[in-house]
Amino acid sequence: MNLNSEDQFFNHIKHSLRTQEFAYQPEHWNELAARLPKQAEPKFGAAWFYNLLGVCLAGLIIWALFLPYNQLENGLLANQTNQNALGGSRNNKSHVLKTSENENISHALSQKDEAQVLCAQNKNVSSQEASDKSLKPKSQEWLADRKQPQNSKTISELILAQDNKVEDKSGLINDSELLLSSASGMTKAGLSNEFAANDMATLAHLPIGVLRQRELELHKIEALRLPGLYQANDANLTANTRARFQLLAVLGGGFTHNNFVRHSLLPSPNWQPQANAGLLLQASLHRQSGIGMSLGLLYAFSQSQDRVVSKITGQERTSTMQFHWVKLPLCVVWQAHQKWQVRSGVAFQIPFIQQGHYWRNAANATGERKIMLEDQSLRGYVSLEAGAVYHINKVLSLEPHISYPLSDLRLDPSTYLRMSSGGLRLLVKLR
Amino acid sequence: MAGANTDIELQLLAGCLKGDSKAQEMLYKHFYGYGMSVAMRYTRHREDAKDVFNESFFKVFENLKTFDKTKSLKAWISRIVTNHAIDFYRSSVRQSIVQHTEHLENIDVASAESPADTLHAEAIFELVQNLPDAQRLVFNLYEIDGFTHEEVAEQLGISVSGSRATLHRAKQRLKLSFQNMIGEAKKNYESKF
Repeated sequence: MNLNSEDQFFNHIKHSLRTQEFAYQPEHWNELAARLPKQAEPKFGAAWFYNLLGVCLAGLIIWALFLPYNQLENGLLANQTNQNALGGSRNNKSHVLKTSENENISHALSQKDEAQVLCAQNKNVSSQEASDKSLKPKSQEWLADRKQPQNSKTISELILAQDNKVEDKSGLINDSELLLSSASGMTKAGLSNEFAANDMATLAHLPIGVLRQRELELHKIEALRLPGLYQANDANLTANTRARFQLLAVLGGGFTHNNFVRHSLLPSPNWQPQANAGLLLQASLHRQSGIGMSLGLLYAFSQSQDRVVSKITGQERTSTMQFHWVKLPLCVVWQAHQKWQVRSGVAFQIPFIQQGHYWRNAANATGERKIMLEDQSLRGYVSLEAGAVYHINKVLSLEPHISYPLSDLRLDPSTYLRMSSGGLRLLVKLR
Repeated sequence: MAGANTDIELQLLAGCLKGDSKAQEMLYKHFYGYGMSVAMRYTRHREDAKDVFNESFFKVFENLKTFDKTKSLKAWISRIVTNHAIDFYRSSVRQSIVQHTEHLENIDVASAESPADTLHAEAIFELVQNLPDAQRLVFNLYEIDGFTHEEVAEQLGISVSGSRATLHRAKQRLKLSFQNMIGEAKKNYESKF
């Protein structure tokens, strides 16, 4: 080994020692990881969880409370504009209706049922007769309050314009547009702008059917437990985790408060009777004292009736509305005491069928049956309820060998007060 | 060595500062190959190297908050490993020279034209590891890690002249060990034919 090779030797050694890397050995990390201080695990009640829950609840509340208002407001604005546009024609209504234009209108709208009726009324009912029949008091007020006409369009022009819009849609009749056209032709006759606008908005939004922003329902719920489910005594699981499966048949009745239903001249539209029927399958898992989860599936049927009076003829009719929906309550249950518990969560209502006989207008007095599928939406449930619940307060075990005869079943009636808003529910058992 | 940290290293660093155990593992894995080679140079056995490296990384995680991000994380970790290896040497009572020959078959003597061609990495590590502890430390600190004799003397608690003499003996021993390796490898090769 000469000097040159010695230098080369040490250079090679240094290079190798500097650049050599060893393959990773996971077991070496495991040894070190066992010694490292553990990071604090996030607790169940971590702030982020409650923040997220709070945001969801707030969103639901805002959504449930204000979205329909916005829709109504938009409808009001749109209809108000429409009414303003029609303002001039109102003033000249009697003259217009008496002109030969009525014949043209009748001809132009001959293919539309509602328009036919409208035109037929235009033909058969003179403006003076219409005013005398039902609109005179309102029309007098309206005439006293109203301003000068701001639009010189005649009714025929407006109706023709609406008719053209309908025809543009390949013959499909758009209900809201027909509603606007027909109602604008009739309700403008003697109603105030405000009332007409409300009426228009109400009619336009009735198919949505979930105008449940404020509800006060008085329920009487009877629960029937189906045989065949396994069960265990409460004592077996006292202080332990409680798994409960309930299949409840729900029959309820109450009143729905609705500020938006103002399509009647009678003074009682805000409180409407409502019937509920549903089947609730609910599974909950929670401790006797502690936090648990509850997930349910409810099919519910609701029907409400309302008396409405034609603004045109004064004829009183009954409007019925039916709702079918699926409700998915997902709750966090905190039961700190036998008597009361707090359920916090969300409940989505998914309406899938809404039917109704609506009071459309004086000309179409028989109402029109509709099935609305396009208005399916998720709705936050906002209600205040008080009532009584009769349910079998049994804890159902998942263990199949624990079974009790049906004779062991007992009813455990209790009254409750339940307040719910935007998914936050407080249930207090009164006894 | 400043500002040499990669984006990955900075991300891992940030994760470790948050206490993310996954980031800790990734950082450990990222520097394992390099850190273990440093530890291997200073220790005699792989198990000792692992202990030194793990102890060093324990200190890394403990003192990560004090690390200046503008400086090289790799150099910082290397320094910690080196310091810990020195501590390990100080606490060690083993001073004997143990000859290991189990990797002699890694020397390709048949085609060797120069020493550089004949040495595989494991054999080189073996040569260094077979040095007495003091010689191995001085050789590593001076030749590999670039410390001066004054710094080596200070770290090891010896005189500067002692550091120079130890380094000289280390080199002589390395050459001798290498020649022995070559001789044994040739014997083994010739005995096969």
